[in-house]
Amino acid sequence: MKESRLPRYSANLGLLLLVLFFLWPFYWMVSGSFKNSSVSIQIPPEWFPLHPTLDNYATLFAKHPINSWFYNSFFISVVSTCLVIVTSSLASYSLAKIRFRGSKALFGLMVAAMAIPHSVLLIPLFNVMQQFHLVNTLWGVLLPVVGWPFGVFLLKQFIQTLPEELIDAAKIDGCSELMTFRKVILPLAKPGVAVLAIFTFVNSWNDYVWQLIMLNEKHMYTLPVGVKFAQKIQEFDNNMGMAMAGAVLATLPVLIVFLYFQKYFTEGLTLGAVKG
Amino acid sequence: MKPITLARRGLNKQVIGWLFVLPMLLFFITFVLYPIFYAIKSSLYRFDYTRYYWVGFGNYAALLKNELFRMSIKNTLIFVVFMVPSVTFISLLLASLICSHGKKLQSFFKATFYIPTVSSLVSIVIIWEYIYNFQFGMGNYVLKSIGFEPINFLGVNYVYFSLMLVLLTMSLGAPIVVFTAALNGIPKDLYEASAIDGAKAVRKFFNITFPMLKPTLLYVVVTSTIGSFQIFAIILIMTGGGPAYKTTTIMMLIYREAFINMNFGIANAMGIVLCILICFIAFIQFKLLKSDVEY
Repeated sequence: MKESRLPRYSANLGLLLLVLFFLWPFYWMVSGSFKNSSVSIQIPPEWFPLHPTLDNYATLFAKHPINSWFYNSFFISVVSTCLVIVTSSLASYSLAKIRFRGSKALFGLMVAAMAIPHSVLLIPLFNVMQQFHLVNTLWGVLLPVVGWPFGVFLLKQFIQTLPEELIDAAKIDGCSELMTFRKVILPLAKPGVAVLAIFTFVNSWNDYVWQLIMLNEKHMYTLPVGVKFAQKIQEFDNNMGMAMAGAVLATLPVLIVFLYFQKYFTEGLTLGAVKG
Repeated sequence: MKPITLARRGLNKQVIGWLFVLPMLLFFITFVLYPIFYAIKSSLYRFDYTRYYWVGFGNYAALLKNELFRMSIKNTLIFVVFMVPSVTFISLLLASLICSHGKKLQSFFKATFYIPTVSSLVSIVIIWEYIYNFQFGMGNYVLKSIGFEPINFLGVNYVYFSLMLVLLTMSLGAPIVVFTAALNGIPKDLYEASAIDGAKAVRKFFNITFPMLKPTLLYVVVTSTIGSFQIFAIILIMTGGGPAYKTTTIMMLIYREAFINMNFGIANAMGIVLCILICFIAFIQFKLLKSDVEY
């Protein structure tokens, strides 16, 4: 037994070092955001902000419409998440349990479309949005998210596993399809819906390139696009404290959502991989 | 009476079925199918500042002669060839280390490695640009303190290394979660049985772990290949394709062609070529990894 311990310890030590390597940039971001500009670029670095300041945040809020950016990001993520949940849960129930004529072919078409790399769609999608006059609007950013059939793919697998007897029982009690869906299916599919909601929220928040292409006025930007814009106009030039404050603003909301709903992420990923 | 109600119910089922799918279907047609057809159509046209004119496969033929396009394929392949094996190997290694711990620690590790995946890309790039800064970045500070010369992380010599390090931290989260779940799912008595037979760790891996892991392995390899072919956002933000086009991947070139040169036809032709390339390679991987599951 004794000789097998050494590799175990060193393996765990390696794991620990990697954990530090992964967490450290985020520590550096948060602590850096509280340093003033000269401290943020001093060598050797100040490992912990000795004189923490909120100046970086104050300047950012004073110079840029951070509140609008936050609102835009939030609006896009929340509305697209709601729409995705309504449309995909309805469609998934129908494809999994009503099984009308053509449902198999339709599902096949949606899965096949998902094989197309998402980024290849960016450019034609932009042209389509031009035709609809939706460029530089929040709706233009969020509506295409609803078209992507990932939600149907995920929820159909989930709803399919629900027992048929429940639906039959509801029908015998005189429930219409819509009532069966609302009263029986939706409550049971809650874990799947939660997974889908969180994934959609985070993905919409982080869809930086699409937002960058679509939004071209300062007050229309989302948080990530706005923060990148502030960096581009050299707002952060050699003021790494302010750059870090911007980075914190752009990522904190999704990070909170992730840490709070962490369990659903792991569930959703394994659901997609093992059953798909 | 009865046959009529049944028939009506059958008809109802069709109508209601389609009604339930309708909202999703409308979005799907408008924002997925229509853009696909639009891309194919637009790849057959060219724009000369006043009007569109039909060029047939002219845009595709032009790609063959386009040196930048060839270079971008080469650059993309460099990323794919490095990223796919590293992501697969490192995440499998980490997952097997994580697996030996209790439930609480497992979820802590998974969360830690997943954080860069869910964070905003803009934030990640800003942090790493700080770390990579030549004068006051942590990277060079560490290098100097262990006795090395400072390096220009985003210069010609180190740009691949620097980008791939960031990309690696962002790409390990999902595979680790998936591998951990798969490893936890392997029945423990399989190992116990082989331990009784006196099997060594290496043989255990190849006789039990590897075959049991094959579907997950296939999933990770295919998804990370598809992802690596599309590497783009981080390049757009961090290097803009430079220095000297060294990091111009296919997607980066497509973006430039569309939004800087306004050649949407050529950009869409490139996109379609990329799409075919990805599908082709994913298909081959599927065949290779799938076929020897049942030997």
